Amino acid sequence: MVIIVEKNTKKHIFKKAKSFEGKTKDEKNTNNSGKLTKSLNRNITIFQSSFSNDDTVIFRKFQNQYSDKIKCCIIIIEGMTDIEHINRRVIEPLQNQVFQRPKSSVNLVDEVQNKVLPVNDVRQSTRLNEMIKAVCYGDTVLLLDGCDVALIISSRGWESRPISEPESGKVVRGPREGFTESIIKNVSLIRRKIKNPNLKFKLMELGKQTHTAICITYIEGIALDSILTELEQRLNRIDIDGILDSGYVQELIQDEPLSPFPTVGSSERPDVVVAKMLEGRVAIIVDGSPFVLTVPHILVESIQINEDYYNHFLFGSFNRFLRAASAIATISIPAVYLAIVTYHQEMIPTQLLISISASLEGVPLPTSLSLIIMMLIFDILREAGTRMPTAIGQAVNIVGTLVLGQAAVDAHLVSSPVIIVTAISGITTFMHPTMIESVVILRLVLIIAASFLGIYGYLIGVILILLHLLSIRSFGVPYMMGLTRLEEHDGQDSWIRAPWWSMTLRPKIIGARNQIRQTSRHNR
Amino acid sequence: MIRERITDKEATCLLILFLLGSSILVGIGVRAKNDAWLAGILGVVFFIPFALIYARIQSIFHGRDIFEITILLYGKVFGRILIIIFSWYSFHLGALVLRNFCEFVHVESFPETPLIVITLCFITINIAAARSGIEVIARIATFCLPVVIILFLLMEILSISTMDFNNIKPILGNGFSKVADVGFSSFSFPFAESVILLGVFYTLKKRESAVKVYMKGVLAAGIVLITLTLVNIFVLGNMIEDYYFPSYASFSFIKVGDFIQRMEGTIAISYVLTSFIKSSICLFVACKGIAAVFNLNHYKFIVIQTGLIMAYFSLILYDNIEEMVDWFQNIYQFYAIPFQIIFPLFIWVCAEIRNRSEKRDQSGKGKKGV
Repeated sequence: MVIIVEKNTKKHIFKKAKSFEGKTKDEKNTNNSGKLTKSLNRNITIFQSSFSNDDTVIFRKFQNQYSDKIKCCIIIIEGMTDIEHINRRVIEPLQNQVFQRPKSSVNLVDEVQNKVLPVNDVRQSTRLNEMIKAVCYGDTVLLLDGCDVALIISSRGWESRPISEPESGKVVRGPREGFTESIIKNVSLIRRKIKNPNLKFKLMELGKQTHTAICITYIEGIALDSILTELEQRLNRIDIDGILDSGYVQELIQDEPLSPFPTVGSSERPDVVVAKMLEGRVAIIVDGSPFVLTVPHILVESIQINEDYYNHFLFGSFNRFLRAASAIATISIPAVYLAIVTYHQEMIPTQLLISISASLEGVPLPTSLSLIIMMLIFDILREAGTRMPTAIGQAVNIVGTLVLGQAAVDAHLVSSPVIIVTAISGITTFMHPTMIESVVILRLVLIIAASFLGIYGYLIGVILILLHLLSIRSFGVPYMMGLTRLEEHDGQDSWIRAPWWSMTLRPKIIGARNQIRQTSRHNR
Repeated sequence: MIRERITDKEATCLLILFLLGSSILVGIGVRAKNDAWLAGILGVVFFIPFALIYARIQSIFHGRDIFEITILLYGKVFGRILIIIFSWYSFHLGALVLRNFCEFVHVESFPETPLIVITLCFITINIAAARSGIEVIARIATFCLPVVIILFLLMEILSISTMDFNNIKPILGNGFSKVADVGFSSFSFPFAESVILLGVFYTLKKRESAVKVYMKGVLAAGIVLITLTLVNIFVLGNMIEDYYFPSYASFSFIKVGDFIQRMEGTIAISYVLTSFIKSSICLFVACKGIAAVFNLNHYKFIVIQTGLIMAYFSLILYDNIEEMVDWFQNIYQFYAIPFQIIFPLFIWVCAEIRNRSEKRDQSGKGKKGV
């Protein structure tokens, strides 16, 4: 795998992130007088006491070869900094260049900043907290003897994964690049697609311990202000010690925390995120996570896949219809099978009924119980398969197909229709990977409902799910928008994907601020 | 609280499903035997003036529900008595629909399951729906209506092979008086039951949409019901009266090839949907009425209690299905007169008088101002 080193381009991001630092509450416990002294050695001691018991912090003292009076010390953390950059751009000029120590101490700092260091992002600082934080972020602090002002030199650079095709949601046609763990790269991936000054990035920091950088991205003039302010309010309410993945943020800003349906979307693909931003959504990039969040997220997005928009519209619509149908099938098929076989046998044609009842012969468990057990086994196999190394994965396959499928039927532990139903329901789950979380639960609920009251129990379950879906909202947008009201432009991008030349308007409510997507057709 | 709003389309769907309600289950005008479709047409014709009256009440007081209107017109004491009457009707109707449907499930599918289990399962979704508000019910109605209509069309097309078109003869074989008599009962069930929707249509967006919604909804529901009745007559003939659930019975004769047969389980889906919408609306309006009587801040606090009482009430309504059929065919139309005819007339006349005098006042003021 290619490892590339991030250059110090991230200066903007973290400079702005600093402006939030005043608001974070844990500033007070890093005591210190907050000021530097004029003595280099004493300054170093102050830093050493702050970084006590931390052996990765490097204090490198050196002096100019032409002037003994110019003594310096740089403080960096190993692994967070671009060492090569520091050696060539900071230590080398300070050691080798001829320059005189000016009269006043402040002027020495100016002199170094303006004339010696060939680095683009250098700033002066007198606040100790700011310097310590900069060191933690991977910047370099340069202390000069006789000065109570230090220089913070941007030098971040750590190894990160290169841009590659995401594992989740592969495409045949469409861009193959995916987000990475680095917020800088993710920002640049979005910026590369929208070359427009209206594209805005707002930075903030979350996590009292981790200080994770978070970036709110939107297109000004398209995104709704109400959604933005609501999002900022919710993000500011977060008071957690650490954010390790965007999943934390997703769960903390959800509208309906108890609902099985996600009200915040996530994607690993820049083209998907940009397409959503163009419809008026707001994206949240979390440092350290390749999954970028988008709000608001409504149900119809679960069946919209980026490839629909790149392929021929008929093919795209057909695929989308299949996806919608399989979403319904995956939660319904086990329940409906159970209902019909246990309570409404008269609906089955006689021949089929005979073969089904023949397969039920000798099976000890009632259909409902065996169906629930088989669904659970399927979910176990699925869960085991995702974590398994590929080599062992084959063993799971064999166990799953042969032992749990064929052998179980032969041994009359379960009936063969139950295996078929489980398989169909399991395969259709994977048609819409973003919905797996909700589907697994709803399926079990519907099976249990159907085992109580047959087809009526199933319908009661479906109506309850529908009532829930219709009553929840994501950032003020009805969750079922686009699926219930089929007016002129609403249905274009829900059950079907209309051709691009006819989609002249953005979706309602979300894109309400700037409804017109294409004007060319209106003029023609 | 955000004011709830429903569009005209949603309101029409709501009205159609409400009218289909339990009438697709027990059929309309079955006492007239093979003239039942004529009785249905008569019912629609009788009802149209009343639909206009209901719509007129709603459009005079645009944006107010029937309870506010009643209190406005009749004062706090007498108004409350009228509200009690109205919400009693809504409560009772909800219980009737619930019992109808649960009896159907009990008789046709689960004879050994106690009725109370079915009723409690079914009231759960009504309570959930009534609690989530009329907007949600209206949206779910737009979702359900296509399903119901498509299922019925499918079933009607499939049952063509079992139809005998001679069953419709003799037209008016029992004389016109019989048809007119039954026509009145099909006026009160289901069409005039839509008086309940006065407690819902305060959410309409425009003043004039009430008339449109009522006319469209009644005509559409009338067409669906009369078609269904005709299909039933074609399939069952004069026997239509002998079945508790004629459409369920007529669809059970479907046999296309060797594969498609006994499709009546499928049609039960639409029974569930329509009965669910109807009884949810009834529960919603009943709760709103109780909240208005006791001056509660919000109706949502009493939905669960009212729903459970409604479930219990539906269980003690009749002892058996024979009583239920007798009530629906012989008693209900007279029982419903005060709620369906007298109450709206009371409101309407008073509203018109008030409206006129207000207009006169306003125009008088206008002249003075000039």
